[in-house]
Amino acid sequence: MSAARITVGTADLDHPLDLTSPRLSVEKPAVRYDTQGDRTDSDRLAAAMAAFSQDFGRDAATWLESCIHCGNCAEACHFYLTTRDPKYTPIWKLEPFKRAYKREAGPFAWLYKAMGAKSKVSVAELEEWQALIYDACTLCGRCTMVCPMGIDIASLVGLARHGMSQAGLVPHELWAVSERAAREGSPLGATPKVLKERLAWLADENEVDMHVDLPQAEVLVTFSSIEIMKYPQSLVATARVMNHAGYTWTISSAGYEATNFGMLAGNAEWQKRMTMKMIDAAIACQAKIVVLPECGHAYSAMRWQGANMLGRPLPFKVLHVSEFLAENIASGRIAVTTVGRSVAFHDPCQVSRRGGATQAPRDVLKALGVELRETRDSGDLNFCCGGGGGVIANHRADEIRYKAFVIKMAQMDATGADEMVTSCSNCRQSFDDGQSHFRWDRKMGSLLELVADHLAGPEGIGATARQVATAP
Amino acid sequence: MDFDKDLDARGLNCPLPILRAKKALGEMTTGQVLRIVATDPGSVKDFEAFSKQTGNALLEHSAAGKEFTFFFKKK
Amino acid sequence: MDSLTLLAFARGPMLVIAIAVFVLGILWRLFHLLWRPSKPDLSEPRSTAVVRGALGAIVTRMWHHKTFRERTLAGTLNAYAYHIGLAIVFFGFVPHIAFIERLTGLSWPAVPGWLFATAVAAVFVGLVYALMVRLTSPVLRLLSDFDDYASWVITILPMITGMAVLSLALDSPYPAQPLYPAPLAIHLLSVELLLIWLPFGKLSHAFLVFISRGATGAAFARKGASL
Ligand code: SF4
Ligand code: SF4
Repeated sequence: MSAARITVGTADLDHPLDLTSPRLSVEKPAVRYDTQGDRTDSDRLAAAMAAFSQDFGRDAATWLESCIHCGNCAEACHFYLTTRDPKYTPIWKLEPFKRAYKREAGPFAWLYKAMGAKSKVSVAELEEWQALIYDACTLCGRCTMVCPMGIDIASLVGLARHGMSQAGLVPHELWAVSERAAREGSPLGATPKVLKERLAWLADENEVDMHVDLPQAEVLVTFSSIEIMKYPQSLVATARVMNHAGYTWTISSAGYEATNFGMLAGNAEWQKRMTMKMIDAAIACQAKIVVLPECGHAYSAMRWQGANMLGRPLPFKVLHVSEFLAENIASGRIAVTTVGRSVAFHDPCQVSRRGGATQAPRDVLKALGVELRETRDSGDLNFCCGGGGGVIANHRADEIRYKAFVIKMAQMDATGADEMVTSCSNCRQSFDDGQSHFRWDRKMGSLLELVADHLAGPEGIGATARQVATAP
Repeated sequence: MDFDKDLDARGLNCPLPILRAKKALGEMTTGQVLRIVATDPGSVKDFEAFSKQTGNALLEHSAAGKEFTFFFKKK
Repeated sequence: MDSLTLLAFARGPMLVIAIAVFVLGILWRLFHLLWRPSKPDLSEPRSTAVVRGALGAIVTRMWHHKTFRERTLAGTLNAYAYHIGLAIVFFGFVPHIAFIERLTGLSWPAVPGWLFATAVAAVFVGLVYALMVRLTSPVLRLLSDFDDYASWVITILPMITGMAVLSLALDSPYPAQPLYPAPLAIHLLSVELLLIWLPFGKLSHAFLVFISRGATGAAFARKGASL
C-alpha cells in the first residue's frame, strides 16, 4: 500500500506523505464495534430520541410529515440505481427517524403518549439503520431533486446523524477520524507541525512564497487535510494563485483545516470546534475573505453553517476556491492562458447542487478556453462520486461505493473529454480509489491546479506583497 | 477475421470493458464488426452475457496468453 | 332507521362534523408545524428572494427534470390523470355543484357530459394502476404502510358509491326529491369519511405539498441553488 511513500527531510519521517494509496483513511480497526462509549441500551435510546426531537425543527418536521411514498427518490440515488435493492430508497433510510418523530414530536404525539405507547424504535434497530444513513448516503441531495413533495432528504439524513452520534452509534472509522480531528486539529494527522514542515518543503521545492501566520492579511487560506497529505501540489497551486493575484494572504497554523468530519459524523460539538478554529484565525488576522479549499463539505460547513456556529454573521466573506478564481478572473486580477484541451467537469455535490456555486467552475473553465464537455447529468443533477458524506472513510461501504462509481465512469467516458477535473479533493480521492479498483485509464485532476499551471506571465505578476514565510 | 473498429480494453477491470464496448458499438452501424482485446478474465463471462442482453452477436472469442479477443457484430 | 333518516343524518349533523374535523384537523397540522422551533439562519444569503424561491419550487416541482423522465413519467402522468379527474368529478358535476350551492350559495357551470365521463374513467383507471404499481414494485411495497392502503380505499369509496347513485338515477338524473335516499346517504357518508381522514393520513399532502416544496424552495433560493 505504501510502496512509494515520499519522505521529506528527517523531521517528516513521522508523518510520511502518502501519494500512492488511492485514498486516505483510518485503517480498519481489528475489532469491529460501531458503538462508542460504554452505556446501556436504554441510555443510548433516550439520548438518540432526545437529539432527534431537538432537531425536528419546522422544516424537518414538514419534510417528515409530507412523504407520499411514491418511491421516486429511489430513481435518483446512485446506491439504489446500481444495486436495485429497495432498502437503498432514500426516504426509507429515514424510516426509524420518521417513526420516532411521529411518536415523540409529531402532531399526534400527545395521543401516542396518552395511550402510553412506547417508542417502537429500538437500539438494535438503530444499529441496523446505521448502515443505511452512514454507509449508504453521501448526503449528495440528488434525491431532493426528484421528490414531488420537495422533501430535502439529504438534510434529514444529516439531522438523523445527530441523534446517532449522541447515542454513540457512528460507524467506527468515521467516528475515529472525527475524533482525531477534534483532538489533533486534523482527521488525517496533518497537525500544525506537519503542516508547517510541509509548507516549508513545498515553498523550497517549488520556489513559491508561502505565508504562514502573518499577523494581518486580506485573505485567509485554508486547506483540506486530504490536500496536505495526498495532493500537496494543491497547496502550491493555492500559493501561486494568491501571489499572482497580489493579495496579502496567509495560512494560519491555528485554523487551517477546512474539512469537518464532526459534521459528517453528526457530532455538533466537534463540528463547532473545527469551524471555530478557522473563524477565530480569520478574525485574528482581520481577514476580509476566507478561501475554502477544493473540498465540498468544507463549503457547506463554513459557507452555510459557519455563522450559525459563531452565533452571528461572519465578519468576513467566505468563498470556495472555485468562486475565488471565477471572481478574480472576471475582475482581471487573475490572468490565465489557454489550455486547449477538452475537459469534463465533475461537480462536487456540496458546492454545486447544495452550495449554489455551480456556475463558478464553468466560468473558470471558459476563461481557460477549454472545450467543456458536460456529462449526461451535470451541474445540479450531477451524480455523486460515491465517496461524500464520510462514506469514503468507512471501509464497510466499499462494495456499494464501487458499484455506484460505475455510473460516474460510464458518464465520464461517454464525454470523450481529454481530461477530467473537479474542485473537491474528496471527490478526487474517490476517483483515484475507483480508478485503482477498476484499473480505469483515466485520472481526475484539480481545477485549481489547472489554473495554477496556466497563469499568464511569470507567477507573482501584479503581486503587491512578496513576503517570506514568517512563523513565529 | 475482418473488423471495422478496434477496442483496446487491456488492463481495465469489469465493468469497464463492457462500458467501452457499449459505447463503441453505439458509434457503429448495423453489420459492422468490433474487435475487443481485454485482459480481465471475468470479461469472457461478461461479454457472453452482454451479447445475450443486447442482441449484438458475439461472433468469436479466443484467448491467447493473458489476452482475450472478442468479435462483436453490431445489431 | 329508515333511509330518509339516514340521509338526513348524512346531510345534517354528520356533514357538520366531517367539515369541522376537516377544517380543525388541517388547522391543527398547520399550527403544529408553524409552532415547531425554527432557528434563524445567520449565513450570508446569496439571494434574498426566498419567497420567489418558495413559490418557484411549488410551480417547478409540478414537473420532473428531464433526466428523471424515463423513470418517473408513467407515475407522474398517472397521478395527474386521477388528480385532475378527481377535481373534475368533484367540482364539475351538476349535483355536486348544486350541493355546494346549497351549502355556500356559490355555483359555477358544470362540465360537459363527455368530460365528466372521461374524468370518471381516468380516476378509476388511474387509482387501480397506482395500486397495482404499489403492490408490484419492490420499492413501493417496502415503503407502503396501512396509511397508503387505507387512503387508497377511502379515496376510491366515494367514486364507487357515487357510481351506484348515478346508475340508479339514470332515468331521472336530477330529481327534486332524491329517488334513492339510501345509496345517496352512503355516498355522502363516504365523502364525509374522506373529509375526516384527509387531515390525518397521507392525503394531507393536499396541503402539505405547498409547505414542503416551499420550505425547500426557500432554503435553496437562499443558497442560490436551483431545484
Ligand atoms: S442524498 Fe444522495 S446518497 Fe443520500 S439518499 Fe439521497 S441520492 Fe442517495
Ligand atoms: S420521492 Fe419524496 S414523496 Fe416520494 S417516496 Fe421519496 S421522499 Fe417520499
